[in-house]
Amino acid sequence: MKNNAGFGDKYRRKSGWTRVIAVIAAAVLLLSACSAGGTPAAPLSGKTVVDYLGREVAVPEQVESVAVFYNYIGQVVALLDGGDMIRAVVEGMKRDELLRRKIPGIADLPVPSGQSSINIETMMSIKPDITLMRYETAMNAGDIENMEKAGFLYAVVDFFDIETQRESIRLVGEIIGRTAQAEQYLAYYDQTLALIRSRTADIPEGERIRVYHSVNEVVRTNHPNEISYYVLEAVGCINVAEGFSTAELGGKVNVSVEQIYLWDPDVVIANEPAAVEYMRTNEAFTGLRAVREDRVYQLPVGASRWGHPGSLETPIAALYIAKLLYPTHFEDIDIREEIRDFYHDFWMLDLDEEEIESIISGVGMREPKDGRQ
Amino acid sequence: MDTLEKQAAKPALLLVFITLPFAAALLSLCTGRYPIPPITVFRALLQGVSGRQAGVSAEAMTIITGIRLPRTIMGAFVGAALAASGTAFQGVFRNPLVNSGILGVSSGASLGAAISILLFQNSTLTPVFAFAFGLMAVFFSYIVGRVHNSSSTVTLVLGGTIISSIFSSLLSFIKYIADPLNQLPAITFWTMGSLASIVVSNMKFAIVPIILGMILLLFNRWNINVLSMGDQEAKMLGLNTGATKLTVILGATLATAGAVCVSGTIGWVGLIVPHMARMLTGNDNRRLMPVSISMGACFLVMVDVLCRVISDAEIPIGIMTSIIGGPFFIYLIKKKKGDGWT
Repeated sequence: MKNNAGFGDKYRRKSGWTRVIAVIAAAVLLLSACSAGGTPAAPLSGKTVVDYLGREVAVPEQVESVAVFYNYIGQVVALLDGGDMIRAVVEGMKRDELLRRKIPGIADLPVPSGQSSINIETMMSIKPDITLMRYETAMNAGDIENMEKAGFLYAVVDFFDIETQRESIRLVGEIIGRTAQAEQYLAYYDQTLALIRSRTADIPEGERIRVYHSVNEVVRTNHPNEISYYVLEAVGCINVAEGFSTAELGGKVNVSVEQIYLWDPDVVIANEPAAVEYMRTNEAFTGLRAVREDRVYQLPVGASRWGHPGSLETPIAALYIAKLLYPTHFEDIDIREEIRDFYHDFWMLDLDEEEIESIISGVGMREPKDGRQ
Repeated sequence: MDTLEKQAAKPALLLVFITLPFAAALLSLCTGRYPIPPITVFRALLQGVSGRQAGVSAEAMTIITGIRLPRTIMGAFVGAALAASGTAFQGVFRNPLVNSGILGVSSGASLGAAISILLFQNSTLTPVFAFAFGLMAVFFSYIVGRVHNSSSTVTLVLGGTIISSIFSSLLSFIKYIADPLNQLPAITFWTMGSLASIVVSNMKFAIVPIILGMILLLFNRWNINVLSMGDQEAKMLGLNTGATKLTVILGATLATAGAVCVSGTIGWVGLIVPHMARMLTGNDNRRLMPVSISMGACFLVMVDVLCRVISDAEIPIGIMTSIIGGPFFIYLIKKKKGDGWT
């Protein structure tokens, strides 16, 4: 396989005929690869989807195998009950407790996309029907050229706010043939946000809680291209960092500790247990009002870290934050019950009390890197 | 801060170099995003020392004593340490282009920190690892540079370059395999150098070796002068060159390792501050060393102030020192036309 591709590559520069032959050879290889997987191969007679970049991608009618190059995409595929289609993952997914349950044999799945490039030879040994990657990966021209040269089909799946996240879920649903599951999740998504908005709409401006959201690190907060920015908007709180974008470094908003003091938030929420620990114990934060009043909260960690820029569990995370901030407006909502239902309905997982506790405390759902077996 | 040689310096100048770092520190305490009037800064310091309430809000108190004071003190010590060891190395290696990291202490410390972040994700172990790996790198460089039981300056510099390069590659490898979500930012941030995340509990890791190292260097000021004449001349003057060189290297390494283990690698200070001092005092290490120490402390504290002022976010100080240091160095070369260094 590898040799053939090498020959095609070598002759391609010489004449148009050899190029045609190479393309045919590649197509034949791809076809045989698909039929080797035991499925009737019809890559070009399927449906056409429009990916995040606006590319029209012709997808086989029945996708049987998928390579995912980003955690979020892997989570969406697993959420839409496509976990058993996944043939290639990224390293981070292997440490995620819920994904381990949804993707069979995840520990042994290959990781063809490193931080710097895509390993085409690994891809050739996997031969996925389609590869799903995020925007940043697709921006690497060299990788994309290699993927195209080797004849691998790919689609770009990404998002930056609520609307684009919803579209990304719909897109993955279309690609892997799980549109019903996608619509079901999106309906829940809509209902939950609508519920939150209706409950918090009448809170007067002066009573809205001012929130600082620590994203991964203590001194990083959400950027207007990160979903959590819109989650805070949706739950009806005041994001202290709103409009603070003068310090963007590579799409991140880094702030100084003194800036946090200047904002003087009522509540701090953080998606990383280490950040909560740091703020509660470090002497630099002892004077912060939210710390003194013990209002620094850890966001739960489910399949993803809620509030992380790549988090899929937006509706339940929004509900959790809304109840955290405005408990009197959500007295009838039992958040544990909601979490249990959420994972039961969409992840087909029956969690016990201990597991729900583990999700809420954010501890134990993501294995630290050194603890890998 | 040590004093200048009494007979060599005018008392006024002496006073300037002693007070300058304190003036810079004061300015640093009064600068930041959070507006605190200078009078409140004094009250907060007073309250911190005496423990008596002086009517300072909890916010202002924490910002002064928990944020600005630690980074100011560390900035001064780190700057002084890097400048002192840079001066010492430039003298011993008779080379104006070497800096405090020439024997690999910085790349060693970076690797140590990265390993600690990768394996333990534990912030208290990071400075310990950084310190140990910094010392280890210099030890290797020394072994590599030792040929025929003696260590010529050329082979030592060569050894340092090789070891630095190996350690940097290992660091790149660790960055490659680190978790891009959690560990990579931490490692990158560390290697860019920062005074922002200094915690009081880590300061002891830094200050003790820095003071020890600087004392060693200050006591060997004259010996550095002799070594800078070349090994043979130094031997003829009756100096045990091997032992002296080792002592100076030890002093400079302790100081630098202490500095980088809490602040990360901060470039250029150990290169340009000695040259700035040299412009004022000439090449006599008896005066050069203390002036370097004073100027190093001022330089880093002032750059840190700049880091806080020019942007809403924290710019890692290692980036700023290079941005300011590079052009300034070019200016020095042009102005001095290379005099005094060769």
